[in-house]
Amino acid sequence: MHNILLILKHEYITRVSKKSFVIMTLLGPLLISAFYGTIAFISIYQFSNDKQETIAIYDPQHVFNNNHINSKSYQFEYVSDIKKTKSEIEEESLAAVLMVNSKSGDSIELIAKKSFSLTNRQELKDALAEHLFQNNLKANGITKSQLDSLRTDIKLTENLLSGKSSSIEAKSGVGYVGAMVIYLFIFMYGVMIMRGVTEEKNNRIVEIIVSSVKPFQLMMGKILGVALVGLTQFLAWIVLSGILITVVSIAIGLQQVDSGSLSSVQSQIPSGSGAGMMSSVLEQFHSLDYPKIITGFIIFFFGGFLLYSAIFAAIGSAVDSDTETQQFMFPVSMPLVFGLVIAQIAVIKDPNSTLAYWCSYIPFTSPVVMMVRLPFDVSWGQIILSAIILFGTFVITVWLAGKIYRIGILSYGQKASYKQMFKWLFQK
Amino acid sequence: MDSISLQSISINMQNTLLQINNVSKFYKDKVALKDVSINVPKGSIYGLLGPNGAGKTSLIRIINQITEADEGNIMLNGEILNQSHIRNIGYLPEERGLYKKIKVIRQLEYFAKLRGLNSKEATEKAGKWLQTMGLYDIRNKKVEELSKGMQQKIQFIVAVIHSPELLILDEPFSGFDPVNAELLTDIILDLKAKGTTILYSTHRMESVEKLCDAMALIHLSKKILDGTVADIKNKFKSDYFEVVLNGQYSPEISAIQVVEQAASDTGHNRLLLKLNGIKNNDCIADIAKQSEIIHFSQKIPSINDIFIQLVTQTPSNNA
Repeated sequence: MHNILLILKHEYITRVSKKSFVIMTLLGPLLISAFYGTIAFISIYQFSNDKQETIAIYDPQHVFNNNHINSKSYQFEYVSDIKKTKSEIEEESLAAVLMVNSKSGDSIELIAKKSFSLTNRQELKDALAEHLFQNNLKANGITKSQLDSLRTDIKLTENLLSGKSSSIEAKSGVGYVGAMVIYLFIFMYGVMIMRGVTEEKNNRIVEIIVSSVKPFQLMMGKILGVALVGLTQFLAWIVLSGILITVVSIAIGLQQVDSGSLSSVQSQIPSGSGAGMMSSVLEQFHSLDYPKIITGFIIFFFGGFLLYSAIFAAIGSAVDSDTETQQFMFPVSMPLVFGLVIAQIAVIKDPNSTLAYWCSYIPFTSPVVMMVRLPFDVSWGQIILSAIILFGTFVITVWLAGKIYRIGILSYGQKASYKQMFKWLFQK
Repeated sequence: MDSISLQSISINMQNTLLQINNVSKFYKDKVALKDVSINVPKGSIYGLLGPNGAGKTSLIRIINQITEADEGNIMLNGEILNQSHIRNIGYLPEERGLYKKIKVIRQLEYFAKLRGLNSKEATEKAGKWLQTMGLYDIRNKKVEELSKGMQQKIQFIVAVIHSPELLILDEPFSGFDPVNAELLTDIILDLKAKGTTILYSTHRMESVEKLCDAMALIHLSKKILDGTVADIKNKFKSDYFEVVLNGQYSPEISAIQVVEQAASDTGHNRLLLKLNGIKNNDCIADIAKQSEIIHFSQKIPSINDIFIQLVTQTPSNNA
């Protein structure tokens, strides 16, 4: 135990004091927020064209009554000379022409030089349909307010027998983020262990170390040390993100106050609406069963990490270089990738489906799948059973991995193969 | 070939540090060691010789408890080798390796702690050894920034930092330039003077004569010779004589053969004679009749000669 602690400490301090670790830890939250910021930015702004394109409408039957049609991206122009219009499209002074072919307007032909994108076509369709809808309302003597009063907006709130309620979005979000974190950390740090083992083997340092400690102690010390490095980084990211979010919120908050006092128009907009929405979102998150989710996260984070790390360590010991690891990486990562796919389906469709249920017990997929299911009121019994299976598998795996490891680290020059590793399992 | 044992003094438990008793090690498809027994006297430098692949490294790994013997046992100070002996053994492997990105001092402390020293002792010893090796100024550098020679020295410190009773050196001179090899020799001799027992594994025979008190020769997984260096050389002393003459000589005693004849550096006539049982003095008398004798000496074989002789004689029908 003393030796494992020595190695654990060495691995931990060495890795945590690396420049790359410090940089990643500091930049991580920035990168993550920049990443999401960029995605949000793109999804909002990418498809809104700045310049409005002009589209001609050839409407001999006067379906649109030559009226102005509202659209963000297009302005419309009624034409009668189809030949001239077509030549204008050829010259690109017009984007396209719409040929209205039926009395009701349900059949329209779009003639253009370049193909329209899916979203552009949809927008065009929506604009035309909306216009016709408004026309029809008017024709039938129905006002907008009349129509609105007929619509019922239902607010569906879920109330579980346990008395806790929270939105499905909050549950899915928390579960999926947790699963993603587990998935990423297993890969990032599992590969780190594998590299470390191969490095020690190639440097021949291992010969000195195993003359002082048992190979199993070296392997365990390494796995646990790196697990703590991973946990440290994760906690640092949470703390730093928290600070970052607080700082940004305060900055934005101050700005709102500033702009509010500057512009009287803006101050008339009810300021409570945004904050109100925000607080209701937070409320949904507040009502989650955090003790269960956090406990579960830690259990499955560690369990999954330890299980996969043992396998990665065994692979690292069997090969002579990183390039040789490819053939082993694929079958090892398959179940984890599969787990993530199941997790995605579970989040969208049904977190308690049969497939998700069973995958949350299979140890190679359970860390990711169970994490997704955690916020959806999984019973403690299920969590404990799954954790027992996971840690039990870990004990067996680490025992087998240790057997491969102890021979692998001292075997040079042989090309690593499954057959070879299998033989090592039984070698004395 | 049977094992030739020339241990002149009978070794008792009091002055044997390391006792290797009938050790065998088998791998799936080959025998690495077959019934090897060696006694290493306390305070000696003991040469472990053998061609590449003879089984030296297998034996060293067993002594270091990296692997286990399939048969036989090993005793250190009269006790069966166990985990508590890790503190008593120091090891310089043939294939050197250090953490490239870690500072020298931290690295030394880590290895010392793995050998059972506490933090304070580790720091103290690391500092002391770095000073001895003239490396104290580079203690905060990373290993990758150092020259090859410096790295070799650090590697040596790793082996001795915990003041082991038994120091195992596997080809310690490989990678050292002559100046540093000299420094290393001095340090090894100094360690011996302070009572450290050194097991010195090599296939470079010339250094054995310089350093070793006793030795064992391992070939094809078996020990084929052991004893003190002096005894071994005596046993293998040959029937060949080197003679330098101020003139010509053709033997009148027909048994004497001239094996080689050449001019010496000084312009004299240098001959290699095989006496074939003729007494030295009779031979000298025979020469003296014809020429003035400047030099007459028996060819004592070097360990290298003995090594080559034994290794080439042994048929390689490895069981």
